[in-house]
Amino acid sequence: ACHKRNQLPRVPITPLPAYSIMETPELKKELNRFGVRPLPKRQMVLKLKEIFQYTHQIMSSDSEDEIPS
Amino acid sequence: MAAPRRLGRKKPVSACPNPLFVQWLTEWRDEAAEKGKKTQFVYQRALGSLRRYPLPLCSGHEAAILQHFGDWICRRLDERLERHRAEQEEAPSPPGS
Repeated sequence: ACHKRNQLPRVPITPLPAYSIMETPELKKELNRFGVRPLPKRQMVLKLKEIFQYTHQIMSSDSEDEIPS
Repeated sequence: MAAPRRLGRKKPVSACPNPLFVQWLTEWRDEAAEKGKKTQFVYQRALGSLRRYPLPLCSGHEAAILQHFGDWICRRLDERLERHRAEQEEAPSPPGS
């Protein structure tokens, strides 16, 4: 009996955009998508990474998912 | 040079991480609109950026990094949040928030 095994489909995970090397105007534009006002550059990078981490959490895959291919 | 594509199950995140703030701002906007006050547009704009923000906020003060959130709105949210917490302590079974 496979109960609730295929809860969610596996989807491609977007890699972290290169926020650390982005120029300030680009960072501002990225943050604008999330409704955040322009901040000091360092803070913008941190905030973007925080948002990315929060929205791209991977479910801890059980051993069954580890299919070496 | 294609980056290796990682597959995984994305943990679902709430589409509305700050339901209380959205609720209160909507109430204030509607109140202001009823009275024909211009502040309705301020609340409306604040709602617009709040809805795009994917992280949960834990205070009105924290919302100051959002577009169109001025001192006034942040303070009002903090006051409302305090009242909400006090209410919750009195009646621990609130209607779905």
